[in-house]
Amino acid sequence: MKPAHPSSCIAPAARRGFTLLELLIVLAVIAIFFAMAAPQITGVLGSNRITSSGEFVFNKLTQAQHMAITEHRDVEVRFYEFADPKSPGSEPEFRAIQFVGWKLDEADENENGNTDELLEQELTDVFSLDGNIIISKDQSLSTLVTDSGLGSGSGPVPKLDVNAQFVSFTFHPDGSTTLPIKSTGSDGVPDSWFLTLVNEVQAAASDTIPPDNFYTIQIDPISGRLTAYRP
Amino acid sequence: MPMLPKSPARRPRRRGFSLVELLISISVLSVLLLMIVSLLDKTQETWGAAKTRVSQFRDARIAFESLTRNLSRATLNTYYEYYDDAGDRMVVAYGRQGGTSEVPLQPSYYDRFSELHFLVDDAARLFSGDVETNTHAIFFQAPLGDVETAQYRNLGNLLNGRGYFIHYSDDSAQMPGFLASTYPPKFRSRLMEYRPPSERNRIYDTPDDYTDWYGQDFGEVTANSRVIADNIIALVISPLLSQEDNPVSYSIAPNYFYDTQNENNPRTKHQLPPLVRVTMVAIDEESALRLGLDASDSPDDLVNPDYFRLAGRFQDDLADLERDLVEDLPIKVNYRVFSATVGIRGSKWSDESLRDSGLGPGA
Repeated sequence: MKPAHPSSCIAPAARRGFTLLELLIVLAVIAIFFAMAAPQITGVLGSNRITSSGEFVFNKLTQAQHMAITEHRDVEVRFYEFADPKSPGSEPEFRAIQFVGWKLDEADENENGNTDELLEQELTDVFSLDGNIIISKDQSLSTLVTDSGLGSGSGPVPKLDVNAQFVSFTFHPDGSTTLPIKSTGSDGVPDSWFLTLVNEVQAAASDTIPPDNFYTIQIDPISGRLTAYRP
Repeated sequence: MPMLPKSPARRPRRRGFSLVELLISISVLSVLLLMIVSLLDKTQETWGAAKTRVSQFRDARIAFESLTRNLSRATLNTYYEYYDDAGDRMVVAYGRQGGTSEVPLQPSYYDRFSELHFLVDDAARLFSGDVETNTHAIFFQAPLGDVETAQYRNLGNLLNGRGYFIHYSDDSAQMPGFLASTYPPKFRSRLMEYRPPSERNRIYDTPDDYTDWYGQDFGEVTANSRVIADNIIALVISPLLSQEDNPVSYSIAPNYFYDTQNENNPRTKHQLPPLVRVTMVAIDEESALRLGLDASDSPDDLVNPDYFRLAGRFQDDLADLERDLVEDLPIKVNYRVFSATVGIRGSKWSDESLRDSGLGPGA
């Protein structure tokens, strides 16, 4: 007679694996860690997006100035203002940039009786800002899109399929700009032209101006020199 | 009871790893990991260094190109005038100033004259007032067509006064207002470009006083100037006669000083130097930050004021400065030297003095 196997003891047979309880506890711990880390991660991600958008705009403005110098022509920089097509009914904000040039159309008399008309010529594609990043319309944050003395207009933006307003200024072939010299700006500081990029959602929620996360680009009206400020 | 035959020479193997195996695999793994981490670190460092090197001296490079490009277009619009025996220019019938007599004198010879001005000098000596500057400054006229009235834009050759010098200053006044609380004032040695528009070119306003057109007072000069680059610590301007390997090429400006309106120097009077060697020393923002430059510092702390006084010592002074930047300052400064010899297109150099050549109405 075989001796009875010591089965169904208090401890289960030593089979490899984890108990359900152990698994649940580990999952719960992992979930808690993620919940603690998530706000930090989204903060870093958001901050990264503002930095990259800011550098993008900075590079684009530099590109416009270089284009004016190398091609020896005036290059108009336009900032387009429109509502986010993905959320209709939202407020129009500055979300896109484009460079525009002017070409002399040495044509015969057209239907208006004009000859040698200046035609608008798109020099580049429309560059859209990432996601929720906008150029702030607050006067203390962005004189470059709010002050008088800028060119302006409206029209369809073909690539984006929206009708937009825009403000603009122009780079001359020697690198200078059409921005007028301000004797005193709205912030009491003379000669100051700048714009600030913020996250649309954060800016609305924040009670400080500027919000914690922003990217400011300043442009000297006479030399066209760009300076970036990032907290 | 029949015995089950034991399998021959088969050790009973339990699943698992022996201790030795574990130790060996852990050590191999740690060595591999160390290699990977150091590789990643190197890659990150290289990428960071490459990125900063591209952007570091970008402003300085752009400013240097702008300076040399504008300088090459310097002009004097020199012409020839009657001079009398005493060396005075004669007053010409239609009333230009400059002579000592209103009665046409006996003309003795032709010589050069110009209402315009090309000036290189020690910056501290050039400006009056308490100035935070060092090394050299240059002022000249060029047909750059820089205007402030839109309809004059197409007149591309209007005459502009231009100047370049160093100013150690803080930029808090130029910052956007809302940032003033976040950013403390930042003191840096900056390259300034004096660039009033053609409408405000004063070169013809005071033909008898050529120190007035750019404004001898430092405040007045800076009011018409813009910063074109930060962290430029030295600007050395050396007018040259010929290629650099000619040992006496700097003889037209042995102390770097060159003033076309200086009537006492018959060689340089009213004529542009054929070549100008422009040298600019820039440091990077990181070094400036670590140096902790503030209101109590001055540009002389960065560049020994004894350097760049004699054109013959240029190479030695530059080598000394480079050594100072690496060894003498509290930290090792990362710098770059920009140097180029600019040909002045408008220069028609002539060493011949017409006075002694026997040419002229009296000859």
